[in-house]
Amino acid sequence: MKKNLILFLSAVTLALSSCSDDDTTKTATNSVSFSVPSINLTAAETPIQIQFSEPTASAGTLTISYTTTAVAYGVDFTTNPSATANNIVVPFESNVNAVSFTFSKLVEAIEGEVKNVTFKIDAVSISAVISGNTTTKLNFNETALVGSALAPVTGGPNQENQVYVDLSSGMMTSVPRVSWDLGFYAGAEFRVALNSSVKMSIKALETTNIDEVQVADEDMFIVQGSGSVDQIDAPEGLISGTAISAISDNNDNNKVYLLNLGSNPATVAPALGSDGSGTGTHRGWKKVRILKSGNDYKVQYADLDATTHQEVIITKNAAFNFTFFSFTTNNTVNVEPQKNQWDINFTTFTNIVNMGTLSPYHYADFVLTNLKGGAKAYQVLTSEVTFDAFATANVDNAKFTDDQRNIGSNWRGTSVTGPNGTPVSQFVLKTDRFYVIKDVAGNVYKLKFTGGMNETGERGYPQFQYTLVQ
Amino acid sequence: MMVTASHYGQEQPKDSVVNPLSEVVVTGQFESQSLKKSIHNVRIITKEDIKKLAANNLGDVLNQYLNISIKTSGNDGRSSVSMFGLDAQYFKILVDNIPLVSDTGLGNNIDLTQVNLDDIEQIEIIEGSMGVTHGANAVSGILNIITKKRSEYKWEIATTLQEETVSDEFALFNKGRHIQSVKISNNISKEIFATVGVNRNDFAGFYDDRKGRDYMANDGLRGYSWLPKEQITTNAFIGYSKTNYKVFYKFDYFGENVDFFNPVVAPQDNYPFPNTNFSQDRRYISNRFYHHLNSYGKIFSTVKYNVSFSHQKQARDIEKFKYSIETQQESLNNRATYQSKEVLYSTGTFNDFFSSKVFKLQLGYELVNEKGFYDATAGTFKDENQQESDIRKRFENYDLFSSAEININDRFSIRPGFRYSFQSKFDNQIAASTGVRYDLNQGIQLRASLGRSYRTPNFDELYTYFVDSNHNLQGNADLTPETSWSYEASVKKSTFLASGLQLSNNLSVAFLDVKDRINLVLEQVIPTQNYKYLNIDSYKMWNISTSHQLAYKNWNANLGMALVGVSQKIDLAALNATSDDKYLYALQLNTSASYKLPKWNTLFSVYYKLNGKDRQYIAIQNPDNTTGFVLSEIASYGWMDASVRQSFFKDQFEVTLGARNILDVTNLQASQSGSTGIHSAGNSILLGYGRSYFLKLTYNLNFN
Repeated sequence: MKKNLILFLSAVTLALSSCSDDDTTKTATNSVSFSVPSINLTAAETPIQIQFSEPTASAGTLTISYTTTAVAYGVDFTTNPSATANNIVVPFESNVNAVSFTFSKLVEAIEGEVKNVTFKIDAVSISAVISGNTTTKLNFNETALVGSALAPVTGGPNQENQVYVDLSSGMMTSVPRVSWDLGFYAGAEFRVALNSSVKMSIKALETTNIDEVQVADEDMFIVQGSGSVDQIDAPEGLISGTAISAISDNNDNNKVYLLNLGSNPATVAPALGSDGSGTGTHRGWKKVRILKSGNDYKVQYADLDATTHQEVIITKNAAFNFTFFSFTTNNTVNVEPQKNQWDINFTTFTNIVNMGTLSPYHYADFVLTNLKGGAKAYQVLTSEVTFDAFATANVDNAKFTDDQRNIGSNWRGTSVTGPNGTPVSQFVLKTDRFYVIKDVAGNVYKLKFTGGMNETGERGYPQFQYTLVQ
Repeated sequence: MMVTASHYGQEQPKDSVVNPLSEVVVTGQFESQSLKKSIHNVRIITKEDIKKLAANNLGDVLNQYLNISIKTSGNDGRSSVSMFGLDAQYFKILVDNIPLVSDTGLGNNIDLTQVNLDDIEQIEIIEGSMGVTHGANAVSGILNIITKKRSEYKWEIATTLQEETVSDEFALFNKGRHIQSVKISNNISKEIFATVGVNRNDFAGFYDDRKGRDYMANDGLRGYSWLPKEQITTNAFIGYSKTNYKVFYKFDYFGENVDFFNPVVAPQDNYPFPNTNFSQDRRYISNRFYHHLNSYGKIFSTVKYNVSFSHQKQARDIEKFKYSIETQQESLNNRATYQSKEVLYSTGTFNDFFSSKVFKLQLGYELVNEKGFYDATAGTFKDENQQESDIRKRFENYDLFSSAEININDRFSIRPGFRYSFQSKFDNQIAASTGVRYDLNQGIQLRASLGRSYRTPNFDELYTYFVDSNHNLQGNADLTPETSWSYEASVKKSTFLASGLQLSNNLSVAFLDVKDRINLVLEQVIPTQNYKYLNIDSYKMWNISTSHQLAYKNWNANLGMALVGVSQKIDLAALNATSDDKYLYALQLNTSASYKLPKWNTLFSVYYKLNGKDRQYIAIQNPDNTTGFVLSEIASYGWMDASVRQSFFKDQFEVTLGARNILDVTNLQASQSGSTGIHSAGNSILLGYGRSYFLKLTYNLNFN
């Protein structure tokens, strides 16, 4: 009996202990790639970086070859380590993630000349796959980038910044969203745009007397289901759609406007997965009247209960879409880069949605194209053609419509099903689509979003990759 | 309580076909007594039923019970009971007469899959409001699990191995269900009995059309249709028993791990290298510690006391992590308590103050001290600055109750009762009850009872808070408990014929009325939609049910039927909409049969329950933007389980082979889905994962 028992119990112990899952983890194979597929050489010496996907298992060497266009080694450029027979051998240590060699430009190119060197990774002495950017093209003159990966710093879940991106140079310009209030159009028309990133709204009053005392109108607030679509700029982004009427030559037509300055971003982070971009304190009210002054704007403004006003003259600068003005600094401020130096803008935005009736709605994680500067975009689903396969022949110019929202919020969702079956806020990147963008210089890029939240699930951390369509 | 078991030592037939007509019950009694003497209409699920169903948790058993249906959540893996259309907040589950703790309740809101059945003598169910004897939240009924506290042998060792398919999915480790258990009991001396046991229940999840953990496409197919769940239950019992004094201590530990794999797959930007994929996954880790000390004896040589002390704690942790699919690695693991409940509990009863057979008095008390915790993400709990705010609250109640049993003669007894509850958070509550039992000749018993009970509001109802420029959703700390009255009348006939045929027939009619039901109400529409929890709705239910049991030679059979009518008024104040409150009827039917092949000792059994078409009103938005109500229907479905059990080597080795959910029920669609309110109702109801098969091997080693 006892023997029987011991045998039996040990069988059971074995059964209890042997039932573990296969918890082994896979080790990734190492890959090697140039960091970027092209570089515009601005300095005399440029480090050319090569990355490994995993820390190197041992020390070794990379063998890199090059081809040239209208330049010669030793005459127009040299490298360190130096080349022998069209090859550079770059040594690397064990346990490193990147290695670089130095490219020295000896002779500057004259504008208009096409001079470049293309490097190619031919071999790696350790076990690693050559993938990603297997080549990199170094341009002696400024040339549109072949591609890159960027992460605009919009400021996390409260998204305090708007970030302007120039795809052809990879340059990003970040400005606080609350740094400006009105944009005065620099083109032929006399039009004034609202800061649509802070839930601003505006209403024409009957009077032309700026010194008349006014009262706030809380019906103008933009919250779910309230606010009026007539009090915001048309979201498509055409200059003809501003909420403020075109400035008239006849001053009697230039009414005083009641301006709701909207909301600040929250000052503390919202709940994980939520958006705090429009939940801060109210930014106050202004009354404002805008007149023409020759080819300039004359702006009269004051607090609502004031019986006197301030006046500024704002001049147009044709290099920009707008001249920006801030009631906080009582001065013009720098916001957008020059109109031919940005293509897309990461910002919050007052859009219009249909909730039974059309109603203004504040969006975070919104992407606008520089429609006034000539940049346009459209969306492609990967079910039609994959990102990698998309080429010049796939470009459909008819789809570049006059709407700055063609990327908009289409690249992400904001809720998933929660633990009790009800939706909870969580940023969801839509990976079934990418975008085709014609930039302000006419280059066509394909762009895919590769992130929108950080690793803990906070919103406001967009990432994207783009490649010149060729 | 311990006395329950005494019956088994003496009367349990060695034949494993239990005589269904001579059962002993404890629930709602002064002391354990035979079922026919009970004033309440007590329904029993026997150990034998549990064995025949090879049930591995309470849900498997209750699936066959009339008037109960079971709902499962695919998102967190919980299964909960619904009786007469009232959810698990209204139904109280006790173990040895003391309420069992859950993540969010004491006795109520129990996840049925977390109640292991290894150690059970029988399950007793009383339908109706049992507030006097069982306090808060015993509204629709109570279920009392009586655990085993005695053995006939010096040593009793039972080991079980159970392998189950999950629908048609099975593999040795990563698919299906795998159960192992060991239990050892020992009569250390004539007075001392001890037992220890451990059970592991590994449910590998139900894939259905989903693709599991390591699926990389972002098409919503990653993860499982039913979440993988691994449970460990251990229990230990030590009891000392003399004629007039008994004491026991029982300790249970329960641990559970539920894995949630997010269907949303996100790319990881590794530029210039190709994207890899990750998901934000989470697992829920539950731990329950249960201590129960019970003492039974006499003071002043006449007064019998039965006192229990219990400390119970259940905590559900949530561990969130980033799962990198290519490398199968977890990172950024962050574990925190999600919900927890800690309870200090004592109850006691004192009987036999006078040595009168006519008038018996019971005095009792119940002391409850509950500490509850909700992580902010477990509900909608924010503060004015939109910051998530955890909820931590302590509720106490101190109750006194008294029942009298007036035995006018052998046949006629009356039992009035009353409870007064001093509540720390809510207004003091009362519960009341009266029961009457009358024996006619020829084994016919008539019973009637009425009872009052109450349900206390939960954390969501009290403390939900989310107010910003776009939302206004508020709990209500001023809510009062919902109150209920229930009425039941029944007649039962027991027949013993000379041929050995035994029959029991039962017919009962019941009515239940719940007032001041709490609901989330749209209070205001303009300028923002304001939602608030209010005591606003009403609920009425009546049912007529009949059950019949038969035992004849090697046959056992059971047939039951119930017609339940529910009337609910849903009031959407600000939308000028109130639902119709007409009675909506649903029919349920259950039947079971078992036959023992005499020569081979093979037991065949089959269970079947029909859940009739279920209808309820739900709010919808009409095309003209007004709100109206439509009837949503859930089609009827049948649930069938069957098994064959064969014993070998003088019952030492038992093999049970069976099938669960033979009619292959999965999920049902409601004909309409709600569209009004913050929580619009989903219209798919998860009932089962389809037909599955099990093989259970049990080895019993009993020796002296």
